[in-house]
Amino acid sequence: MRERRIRPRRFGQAAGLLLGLFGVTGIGMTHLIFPGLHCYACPWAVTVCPIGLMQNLVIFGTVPFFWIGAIAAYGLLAGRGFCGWFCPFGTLNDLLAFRRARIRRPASLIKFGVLAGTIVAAWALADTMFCKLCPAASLEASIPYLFLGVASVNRPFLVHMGVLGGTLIGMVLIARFWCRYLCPMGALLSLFNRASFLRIRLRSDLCADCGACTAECPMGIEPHRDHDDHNCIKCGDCTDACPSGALSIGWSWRRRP
Amino acid sequence: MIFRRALAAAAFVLIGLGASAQEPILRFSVDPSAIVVPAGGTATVTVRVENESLREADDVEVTLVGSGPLSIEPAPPIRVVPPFEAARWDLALAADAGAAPGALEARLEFVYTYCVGDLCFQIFDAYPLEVRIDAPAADGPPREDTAGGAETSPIPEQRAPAASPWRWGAAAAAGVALVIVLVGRVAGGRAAARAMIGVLVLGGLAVGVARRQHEQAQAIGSVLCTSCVGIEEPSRAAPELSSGAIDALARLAEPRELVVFYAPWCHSCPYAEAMVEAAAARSESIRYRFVNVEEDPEAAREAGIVESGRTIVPAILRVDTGDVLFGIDHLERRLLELIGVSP
Repeated sequence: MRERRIRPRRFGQAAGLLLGLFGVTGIGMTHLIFPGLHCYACPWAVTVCPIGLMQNLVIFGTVPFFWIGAIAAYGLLAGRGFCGWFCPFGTLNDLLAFRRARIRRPASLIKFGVLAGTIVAAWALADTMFCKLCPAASLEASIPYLFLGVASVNRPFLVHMGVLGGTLIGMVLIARFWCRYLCPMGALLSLFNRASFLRIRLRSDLCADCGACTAECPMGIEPHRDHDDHNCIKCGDCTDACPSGALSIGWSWRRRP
Repeated sequence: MIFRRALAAAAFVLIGLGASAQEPILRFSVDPSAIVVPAGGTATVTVRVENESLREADDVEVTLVGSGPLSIEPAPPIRVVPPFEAARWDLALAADAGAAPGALEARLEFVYTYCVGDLCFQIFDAYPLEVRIDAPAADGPPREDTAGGAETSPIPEQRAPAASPWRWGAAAAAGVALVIVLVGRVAGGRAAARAMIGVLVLGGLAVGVARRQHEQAQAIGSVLCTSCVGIEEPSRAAPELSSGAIDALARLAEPRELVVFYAPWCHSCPYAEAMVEAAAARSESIRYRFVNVEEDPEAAREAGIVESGRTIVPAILRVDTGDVLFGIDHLERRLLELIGVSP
């Protein structure tokens, strides 16, 4: 049962990495907005970072029709499922998920503050301030460009490395630390979580309230109490853990009881 | 099964948002494309001007050329076309009363400028017109648009101008609030939310693509400004050469040609440009020019400042050796090394 669930998710995450690094083929930048947190400054990126683009649109004063359409499309399709199934930085979170602590709900609202702060900073300072602190940019742009001879060890680089180091420590101490508390892209996609086609379903009549799903959840939520939670990344670990088959994951194209 | 469906959905999204090439700075179009003017009358021609770059276009002027019996009233220039915005003229195209019926060749010529710091460029462009002159009406009044003379004032585009961040934020907040309400615990909320999000998807992508915002996104992603993602800090101060650098440059005997690659919106680029200017002011052996990587991406590719389709600015090329330096960190020292002198 577990094998059947995990394997497709790993393929999805591999596809996310593949798209994220597809620039090694030399095809260059496309018009695609990435459905996750992936730095467009990465030497091998072929997609535009939604958060980076959002900041630039605020700076230019552009009404972001295309951006809204793309984000809404991703949200409607899978909501935060992209965090669990596709985002390369989410995959890194997964790789370091050694300790599955319960989520602190008030703290999980910080990511909405990060999102709002990113927008306000772009407007007030006319600069992409989040990019200068983004751990994904640290990993995918600063470090590669250091080896390519474009970047050097200077103050911005050290700031990047400090944020990345802190985030990595957080990931080790708390599973999906970045996704739970800080990711602005996760905040955006979470707005669509209850409406998205990719869903975790609960049959309350089968649930024994054993808490096995909660113990397995990398986000530290209680799937048997709130399977539509905005923090749910729809990874499906809870469905594998459920001994009574009360939880399942799948596409829901029409309304179901 | 889930994986196959996810893959199919991802492929659908990829195909739907597929790539295409970038366009020049201003695009002109004329409506109607085939213009019919009665002899002795006028026809209204709408000239649409779209700015497809991150630069601001200034003083866009239009004139009619090679027209014979056709004329337009002089149209005031459009002072500014902001990045990724549009404007238009409504021109009254007039034909002489004695003009012979038939097809005519004419064209509209445009000239406009854009500037980067003190450096300005003048751009010429043209648009061919298909014009047919009809016989004048046997009787009746002249066409209504001839009565008051030609209306040639540039008219702002009917859609909203560049939205302020406040409007952007208010719209986003309203959308987010609506989503939260609909997606929440409201009875039947899920179906309503899906319908609303579906409208957002279709409407957003359709209007966004019509406004070429997908190209704007690509343009933003295609150029890496070193200070914009925290690779280095921007510097807005005027560079000052050290006395050692000034002496070293004064000793330079061999000619050096430098090319500074920049993007108009790059925060670090003006410093790199000013540093090269300062160095050239201290040595007659140094010649230099500036290249806007959005205007001349081919030159950027040939210079080797493109990594996997990402053009990195600011970059300074020494032409004879092909050596390139990126960014502005410790620029004086690195520029002297690039030029081949030591303080």
